[in-house]
Amino acid sequence: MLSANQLTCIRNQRILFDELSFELEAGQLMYLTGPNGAGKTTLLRSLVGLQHLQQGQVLLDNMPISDCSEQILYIGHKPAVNEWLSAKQNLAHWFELSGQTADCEMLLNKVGLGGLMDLPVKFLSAGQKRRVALVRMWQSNAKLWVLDEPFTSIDIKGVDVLNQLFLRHKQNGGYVIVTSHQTLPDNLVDRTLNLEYRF
Amino acid sequence: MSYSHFFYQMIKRDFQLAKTQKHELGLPILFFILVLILFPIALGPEAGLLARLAPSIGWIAVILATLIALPRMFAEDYENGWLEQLFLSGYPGGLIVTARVISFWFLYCLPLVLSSFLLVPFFSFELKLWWVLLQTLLCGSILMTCLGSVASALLVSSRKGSGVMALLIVPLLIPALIFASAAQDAASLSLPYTSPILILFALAVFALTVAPLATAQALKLNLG
Amino acid sequence: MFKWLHPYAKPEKAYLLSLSVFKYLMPLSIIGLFAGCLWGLMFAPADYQQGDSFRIIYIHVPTAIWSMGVYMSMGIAGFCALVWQIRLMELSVIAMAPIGAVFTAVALFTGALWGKPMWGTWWVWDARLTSELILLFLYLGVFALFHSFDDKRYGAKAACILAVIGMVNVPIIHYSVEWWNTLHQGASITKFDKPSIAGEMLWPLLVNIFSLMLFFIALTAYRFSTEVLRNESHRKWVLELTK
Repeated sequence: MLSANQLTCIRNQRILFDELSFELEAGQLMYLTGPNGAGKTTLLRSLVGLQHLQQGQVLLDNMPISDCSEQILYIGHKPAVNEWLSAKQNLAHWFELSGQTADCEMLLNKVGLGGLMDLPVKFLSAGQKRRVALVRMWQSNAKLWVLDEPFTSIDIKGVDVLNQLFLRHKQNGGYVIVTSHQTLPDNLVDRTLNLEYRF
Repeated sequence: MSYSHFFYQMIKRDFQLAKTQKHELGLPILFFILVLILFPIALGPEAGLLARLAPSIGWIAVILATLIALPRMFAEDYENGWLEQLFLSGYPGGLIVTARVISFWFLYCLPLVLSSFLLVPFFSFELKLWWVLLQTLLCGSILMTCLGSVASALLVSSRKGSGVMALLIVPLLIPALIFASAAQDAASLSLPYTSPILILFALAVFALTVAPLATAQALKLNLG
Repeated sequence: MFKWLHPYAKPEKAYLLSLSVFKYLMPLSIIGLFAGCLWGLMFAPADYQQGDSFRIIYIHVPTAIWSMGVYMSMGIAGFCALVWQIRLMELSVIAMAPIGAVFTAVALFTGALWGKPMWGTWWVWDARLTSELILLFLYLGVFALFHSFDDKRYGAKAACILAVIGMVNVPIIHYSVEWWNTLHQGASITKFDKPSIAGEMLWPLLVNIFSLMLFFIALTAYRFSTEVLRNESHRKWVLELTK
């Protein structure tokens, strides 16, 4: 179970969220909505422990989130993809970091980057770059997926593939927390959390 | 993944990246040479004077060239999000930073230190004295990289560039400059010069122990 | 002691405390400074060697002493802020930095004024002058770092880190500069034999040193209270206060 207790975050002298609490059971997907500037990204970052919280804590299976680093897959606005390295190199570094062995070429072929894997990523289009970042989801042992706008610049077919991945992860008993400006299919979303813009 | 393997991977990635952007590595050296050229033009071509000033000029040029390179230490990885993934991965922040400090030193500082050899032909600097300069610069550049890593980490998310960076680093570097010039003075008078160099080395080791912790703190702060 | 201190870690309590500190210490320190300066500048006997120009000591020495004292307290406050994660301590670092910078600048300026008649030059690369100058830049660095962030909260934390690093470095800088000075200058003109100061001259100096400390505390308290207000501007107690 993922539980967030009394999260409070203040940035630039503005309260983004105040004593926010929620719980998520294994196999559930939470869809986070709200207008720009409401603090969605900040909430996601504080869930994985990147954002300093004024108050509150996040527990994954009754362990503080800072002790479960290998259980987290966080893909933020910044894709963690280096423009100068090729897609293959980027992935290799990524899997080294998360301590996994994976067949990078096979994965890249799967997302349709077959012929482009040795090119520096800066020569790829925005959607293709995004795919390089999202490949990690195919080969992830993490229980908790925290995804910030994963659908940005992804085409319709790609969106379908992502939705299937979410479904598979849910069936395996994982947790998914997603923000998006696109609506997700109803059968996928178990909970919706709406953040208001606060002054 | 064990810590040592992680460390090795980090350094490998930095070198891989450096290979794709070789021109970036050359810029500080070009800057260093330009600063060197400015001095004879400003001071006049008198060989004795230039030879006497050569070590101080070399030090100043290395400091300035390092200041040029320092903002790049964490900037790219901060911007593309790799840094936050590193800190999420659960490896100790000090280890991440130490890896980066070491690769930065090899990629940027070591070439600068070695190119101080140009002082020998340009400033009719004695080879024997250059050897002393090399030793002081080796220790000093480690110190510079360590202090620079803290400053570069502190400023990574702010858009104010190298001006503040200089303000943060230069005052803290003054002891290093003092010991280096003491060693140089002693060497030019054929006196034993090991003690200032040892002090310099001690400062470098001290900085290498403490700075990664401060840098990791500063990076965490900038991530949120 | 922590039990006693703990309530003051609450912003509201700290605000009220610092305001009352300001209220009591400010008049006291101004009276003290006024009395000390008057005593020193008008009634203390002139120096037999330096004449009346020595009287700048009553400004120079207190500011020079506290320029270092302020940095030390800033470093300690920054250390406490980082180790125990006390946010109010971060604010106190920011409150102290400009005051210390001004003290340092005043000390340098009066030193130059004093140097002109004594040494015949505005500036010499004397050990104490040099380390004072470096200290000024350390202060400016802390201040500039604070202002290079849009989010003042990050700025304050970053300034704390720098203050602590500076505190570690101040002794290194001080001793290395002293060593450098003896290497380069040998017996310099500044090393004139200082006659131990006479009692009538010493007392106003001590009064000034003490009152300048009170002045520093009062100013810090005032700046601190405004920083607290600005930082807590969204909180209920501030809104009630400003109604």
